Amino acid sequence: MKIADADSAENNSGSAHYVVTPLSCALPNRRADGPKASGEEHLKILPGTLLHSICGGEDDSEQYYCNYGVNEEYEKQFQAAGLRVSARGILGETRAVELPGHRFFIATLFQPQLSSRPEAPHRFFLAFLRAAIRFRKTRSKRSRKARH
Amino acid sequence: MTAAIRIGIMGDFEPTYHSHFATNAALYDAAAKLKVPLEVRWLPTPSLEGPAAEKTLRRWDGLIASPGSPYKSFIGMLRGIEFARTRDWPFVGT
Repeated sequence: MKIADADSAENNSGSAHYVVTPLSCALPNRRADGPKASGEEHLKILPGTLLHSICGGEDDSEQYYCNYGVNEEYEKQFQAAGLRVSARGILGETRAVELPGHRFFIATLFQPQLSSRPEAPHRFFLAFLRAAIRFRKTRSKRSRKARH
Repeated sequence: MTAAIRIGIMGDFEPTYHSHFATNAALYDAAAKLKVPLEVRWLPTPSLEGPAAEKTLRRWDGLIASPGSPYKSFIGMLRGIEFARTRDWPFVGT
């Protein structure tokens, strides 16, 4: 983004550019003892994104456990830097971003690991492991070639 | 036997933190379903600050930025994410 002092408000650095700030709204299902974003939220996954191809549709709901999120004032700059929003909350808040052109680069505010179960692994982690498996194959091919 | 898929989790593991435990568990849930052996290691954020970090990061087939900020080393975490971003390494941050 070329903002040298970009920081998270959580770090209290005194920076003029907090690109990550405390969430303004609590989730409706917030847990009594939990942070602002805790419990479940319904999301819209944006078509044409990697996340959409993983989730197989636009409607999703996920578990959260956090207090901070993207400062929406910087949304245009995040996009200009190449990040693409791939999920939004009910009020349009940024809930996941990804990097088009990268083999697999997704960051989420929600935590898919909180709803994975041994009998029902989360598709997000299945997709990530599949990407890691594919990546390892391309790497080992490359290093074999390098030896010849 | 197939070699294990190796996943590095950048973060400062705290055993009492549910999200950390859940990150490990979700990886093993997925690996069991895909029937692949899995090796997971947590990479403490201060260890990602120095020049040796690249060698550490290259060992893994995929990298995760763990939940649980503030991190012991914010710089270390940013360097790790930068590595994944610029070297086209499979990455998720949750």
